[in-house]
Amino acid sequence: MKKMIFYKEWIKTRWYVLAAAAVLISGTAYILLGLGKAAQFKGNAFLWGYVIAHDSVLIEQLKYLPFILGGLLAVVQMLPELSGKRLKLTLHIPYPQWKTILLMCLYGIAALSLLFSVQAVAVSIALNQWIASELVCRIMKTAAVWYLAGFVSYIWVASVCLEPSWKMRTLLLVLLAGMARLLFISPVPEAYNGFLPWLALYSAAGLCMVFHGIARFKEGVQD
Amino acid sequence: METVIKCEHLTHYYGKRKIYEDLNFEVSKGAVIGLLGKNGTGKTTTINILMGYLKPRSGRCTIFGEDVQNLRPETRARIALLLEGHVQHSYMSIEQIERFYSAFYPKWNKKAYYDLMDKLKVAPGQKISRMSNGQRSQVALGLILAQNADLLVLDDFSLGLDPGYRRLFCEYLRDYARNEGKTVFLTSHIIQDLEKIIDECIVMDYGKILVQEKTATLMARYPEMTLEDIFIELTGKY
Amino acid sequence: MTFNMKTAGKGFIIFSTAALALWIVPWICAIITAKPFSAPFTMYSPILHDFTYIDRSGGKALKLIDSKGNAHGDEVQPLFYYMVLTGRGALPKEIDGHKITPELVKKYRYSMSEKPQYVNAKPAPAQLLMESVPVRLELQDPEHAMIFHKDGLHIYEMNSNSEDKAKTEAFTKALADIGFKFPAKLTSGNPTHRKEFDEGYLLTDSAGRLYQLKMTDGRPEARHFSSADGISIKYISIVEISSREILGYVVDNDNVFYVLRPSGELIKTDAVWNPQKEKLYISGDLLYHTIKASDSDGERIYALRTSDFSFENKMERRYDKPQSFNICRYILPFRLYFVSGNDSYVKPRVKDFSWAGTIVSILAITGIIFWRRKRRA
Repeated sequence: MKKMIFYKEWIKTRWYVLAAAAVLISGTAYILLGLGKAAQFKGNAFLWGYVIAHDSVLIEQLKYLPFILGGLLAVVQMLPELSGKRLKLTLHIPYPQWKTILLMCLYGIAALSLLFSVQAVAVSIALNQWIASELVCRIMKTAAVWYLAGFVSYIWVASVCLEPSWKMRTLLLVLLAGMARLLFISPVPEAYNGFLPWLALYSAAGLCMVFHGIARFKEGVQD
Repeated sequence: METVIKCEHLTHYYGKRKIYEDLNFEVSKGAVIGLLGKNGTGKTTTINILMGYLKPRSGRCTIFGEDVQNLRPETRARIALLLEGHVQHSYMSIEQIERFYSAFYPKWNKKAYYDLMDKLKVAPGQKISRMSNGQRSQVALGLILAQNADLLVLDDFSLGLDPGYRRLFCEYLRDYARNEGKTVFLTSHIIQDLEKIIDECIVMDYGKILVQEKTATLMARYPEMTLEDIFIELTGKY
Repeated sequence: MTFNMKTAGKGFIIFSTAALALWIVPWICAIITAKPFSAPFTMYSPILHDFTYIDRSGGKALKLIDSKGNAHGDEVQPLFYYMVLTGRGALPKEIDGHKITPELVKKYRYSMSEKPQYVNAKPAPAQLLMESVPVRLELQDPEHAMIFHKDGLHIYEMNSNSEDKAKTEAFTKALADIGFKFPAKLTSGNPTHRKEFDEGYLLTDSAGRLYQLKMTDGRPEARHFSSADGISIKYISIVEISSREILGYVVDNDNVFYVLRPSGELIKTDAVWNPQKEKLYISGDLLYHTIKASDSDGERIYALRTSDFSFENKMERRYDKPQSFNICRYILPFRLYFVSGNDSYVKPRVKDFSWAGTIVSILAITGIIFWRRKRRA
C-alpha cells in the first residue's frame, strides 16, 4: 500500500521531477563549465584565490535553485489534490489518513533529496578537480543551507496548498517569506554552521503544518 | 435490519446561515436511498459530514456503528465514494488508476472494472483527463463496482452526463445494488433518474427533512404524479 | 493522531508567528526610527600633544578641535596632512627633535583597521603562500597554498591541484624542529602582490606559542618568538609597512595589546582592545600611534609613542546617539535577531528586554484568548 501511494505521487509528478532534474543538471553544468574555463584560462590558482581570499563559494549562482524547485514540486504535487477536492478521494482510501499524507510528503522529500544529492555529488567531484578537498568541504557546508531551503520551501508550500482557508494561507506565506529571508540572510561561507542542525529540526517540525491543514480541511473550514 | 448510516440531532451552520437543525435519519442495510432537495438545502453538506470532511456544529453520525469523524481504514474499505462531477485522479490512465486502487481494497473485483472499461473503447494508456465527462463517469462507476463495497455513497452521480451515460449509470447501479444487496446513499438533481433506482427517499427543505419514506408509498399517495412532480409539490416551485 | 497533529501544527504556527513578529517588527521600527550618526575622526597631534577631532559643522573649511574645545587648522596634524602642507610649503622641518621630510613621513605613515565580524568569522581551511623573495624582485601572485593538519603542514601546488610532498615535508620539518605543535590555532597573513614585501604568516600552534613562517626561494623559513611564550594569545595580525619597524600585533586573553618587532621583541602596551567585540583603528606615523577601540556605545583612544610604544595619552568618548521614540519597546518583550555586526554567524540572539513590552504582550495574548473563547461560545 505504501508503494502504491508513492506510485500515485510518481505518476502525478514524474514529468516535473524529470524537468527539475534537467534544470538542475543544465544549471549545474553551465556553472561548472564556466569554472572549468576559468581554471583552464587563468589556472586553478585563480579559483583557489577566489575561495580563500574572497570568501567565494564559486557556485553562488545555484543558490536559489533548490528553493524554487522545492516550492514548485509542492505545487505540482498538492494542487491536483485540491482541484475538484480530490483530496477527499486521497483521504478516503482505506489506509490511515495521517500515514497517507506523511507518505505523500516523504515522497516529495525523497525526490528532492535524490535531486539535491546527485547535484551535490556532481559539484563535489567537479570542484575536487580544481581545488583541495578541504575547500570543497567548505563550499558544500555553505551550500547545505541552500538545500535546506529547498526542503523548507517544499514543506511550507505544501502546507499552503493543503490549507483550506485563504487567511491561513496568507499567514503561512508570510512565514515562508520569513524563513526564506532567514535562510539567505548571510552570504558568508559556513555562516550557518552551528545553527543549521536546529534549523533542520525546526523545518522538519514544519511538517505538522501540513497535518494542521488536513485537519482543518476535514473539519470543513472555509473563508 | 442492520443500520448502516445513522445521523442524530445533526445541526450545521455556514457562518450564521443555518443549513439544518436537529436532523435525524437512518439508512438500513440493503436500502437504496435518494437524498432529494433544492440547491442549498444541504445535500452535499450531508455527504461531506458522512464522509468525515465536515464537522457539524452539533450532532453525531455513524456508519457501520463508527463515528464518521474517526472511521477506521477497514471501515472505509467497505464504503465506495463518488464525488460530485465524477472527480478522479485524472492524471492517471485507466490502467494506472486500477492498479492504484486495487492495492487498497481486499475484495477488489478487477473483472467488473475492465468489463466496463472495454465498453469505453479508449487506449489503456489514455489519461482520464483527456476523456469526455461520460467516459470519466464510466471510469468512476467501474472503480465503484470493482471496490465491491458494502455501502455506496454517490454525490450527484448524474452531473454533467448526457442521457445515454445517465441511463448506463442508472442501470448498472440498480442491477448492482439489487443483485449484490448493497446499501446505496445517493443524491442527484435529475429526479427522473432517481425514480428508477431508489427504494426510499429523503426530501430535504431549508433547515429540515420534509419526508422520509419508501418511494412506492410516496408515489402511491400522489397517484398520476412522477417523483419529480411530487418533489416540486412538496418543496414548492421556486 | 490527526487531532494531536492539528494541535502541534497550531502550536508551531503560533510559535513561528511570534518569533517572526519579535524579529521583523523591531527591525522595521529600527529602520523607521533610525537617525544618522557618526563618531568624529580623532587623532593625536604631535604639535599640540593632545587629541584633535575633525569638526565638519563649519562647512568646507577644515577645523580640528582639541580636547579643550579650541579650533585649529590642518597644521596641527602635519604627519597626516603632510601632502597638503608640503604643497603649500608649510610642512615643519622638525617636530620634537625629529627630522621631518615628506619621504620619511610617507615611509612611516599607515593605517589599519579590524572588525569583530572578520575576527569572529570561520576562516578558510587553507592559506595562500607567497614566495617572499621572488626571482624578478616584484612579488607575484601565490602559486602555493598551505593547509594545516594534525600531522603537519601540507603544501599544495595550486595550478596542478596536487600536494607538493617535498615542500610538505620541508615545511613540516622546519616548524616541527622549532617546537611547533600542529595544527595551527591562529594564522595571519596578507598574500597579495600589491605590497612592497612579504613577511609570510604569523602563526600560533595548538599550544598557543607564536611563530612566523614564510617561503624564501621555495624553502621554508620559520621562527619561534620566545618573547610571547607564557602569553595566552587570542589574536594576531601580521603588519607589513614600509618602515619595517613592526612585524605584527598580538592581543592576549586580557585584551592587552602587544607590538611585535621584527627582532622578536614583544612590547606590552597600555592599549586595551577586545577583538571579539570591538572595532580597531590604528593610525600610525613617525612619532605616534593613535589606537582606537570602539563599539556601539563609545570608544577608547590611545596615543602611544612610535619609538617604544610607551603610553602618551588616552581619551574616552561615549556616543551620544540621537534617541527616537521606539514603540516596539512598549509592545514587545524583547527583540530577536539573527545576525550581528560582531560576527559572521547566523544564529538566534535576543536583546532589548523590556518589562513594559512583556506586560503589554501578556495582556494582549490574554485578551485574544478570552475573545476567541467568547466567540466560540
